[in-house]
Amino acid sequence: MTNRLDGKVALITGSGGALFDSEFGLGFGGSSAFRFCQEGATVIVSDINDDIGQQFTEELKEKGFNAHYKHLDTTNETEWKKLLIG
Amino acid sequence: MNRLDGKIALITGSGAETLKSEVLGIGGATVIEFCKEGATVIISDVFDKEGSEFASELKSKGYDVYYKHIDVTKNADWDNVISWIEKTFGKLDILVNNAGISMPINLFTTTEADWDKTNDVNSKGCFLGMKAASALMQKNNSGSIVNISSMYGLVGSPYSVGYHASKGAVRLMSKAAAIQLAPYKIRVNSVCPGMVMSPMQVRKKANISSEKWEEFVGFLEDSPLNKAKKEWIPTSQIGLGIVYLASDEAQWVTGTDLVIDGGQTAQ
Ligand SMILES: NC(=O)c1ccc[n+]([C@@H]2O[C@H](COP(=O)([O-])OP(=O)(O)OC[C@H]3O[C@@H](n4cnc5c(N)ncnc54)[C@H](O)[C@@H]3O)[C@@H](O)[C@H]2O)c1
Repeated sequence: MTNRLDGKVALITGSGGALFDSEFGLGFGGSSAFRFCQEGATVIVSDINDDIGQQFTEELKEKGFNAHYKHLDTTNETEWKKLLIG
Repeated sequence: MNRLDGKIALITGSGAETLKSEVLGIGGATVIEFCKEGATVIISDVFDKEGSEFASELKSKGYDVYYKHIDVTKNADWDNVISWIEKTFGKLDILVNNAGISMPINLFTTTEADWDKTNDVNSKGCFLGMKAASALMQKNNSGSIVNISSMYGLVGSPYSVGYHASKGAVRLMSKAAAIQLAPYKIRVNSVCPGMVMSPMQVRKKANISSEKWEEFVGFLEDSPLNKAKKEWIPTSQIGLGIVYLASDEAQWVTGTDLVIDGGQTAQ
């Protein structure tokens, strides 16, 4: 583990579609979330696939990383506002 | 950090300044980033006194560095140093073709001799370096070559003509070499810096009238990030881009340009 993203908070869309042992492995989003965590970032995993997204986030937490799951349909501006402003 | 652990790297035009200088060039700053990432670095330049002193300074900080003379326009210099590297380390992992010159002369003021000089160092030097280094890299079936082009290799300006030609040449010879060296798993990429505060700019300031300098610096305003930050790009930022392309993190990156220009050519 290195620290190139220490102290950064990162939101990655479409990052909750697969688990570590999924048939085809992690997608770009999930791999990025994992790599960002390894570099010290706090990562907000987001997707429309809530079940898998939440499970993937648990997997990251079990590895000791700082990860959170949030539902986000990127085509929906109301959801963006809800996620970013609350 | 260890992003370049175990790598042997040769960086041209990296020894004209020492740690005592006002500012390091892109080459010198890249040497430091490479050292911090665990590489063994061969500093090379035509300024042997400064280059040797820079190497001693870094050695005393515990880094594994050497100084060797290379005038990039002289094939014999390349041959000497590449065979020394082969004898000493048995391999070369990374070549950074950084040596370059720039003169504030445009189509009207450039002489044939100016044209030849600029293109000799910037363009021919890069070709000779790729040819010599890739011959050794081929023996190991791996390597990464990073050629320093410029945003002036992407767009024109009122200030130069031969420099634009030479930097455009660097970008396209990188792409051609990337294709020709891919069978040996050797990657070739170029970096296109924007307005970087290096000794090249310090000298330019000393050599042109203050109005000309003001006009030139006004150009900084054209770059969105330089304008927002009100400063030039530090040389170390270019070094970090070079680290990425040189390292195994960029295993699938070849034949591309990494533009580090504060957004200047995005518009
Ligand atoms: N500073 C900028 O704004 C900027 C922008 C884009 C691209 N670049 C490019 O980045 C590279 C480094 O430039 P810099 O800004 O650090 O300038 P610099 O003048 O500080 O460094 C250039 C180095 O090349 C060396 N050199 C010159 N002729 C040589 C030769 N024949 N053989 C070997 N070494 C030689 C010099 O001694 C010096 O160490 C150059 O290729 C330059 O064109 C610079």
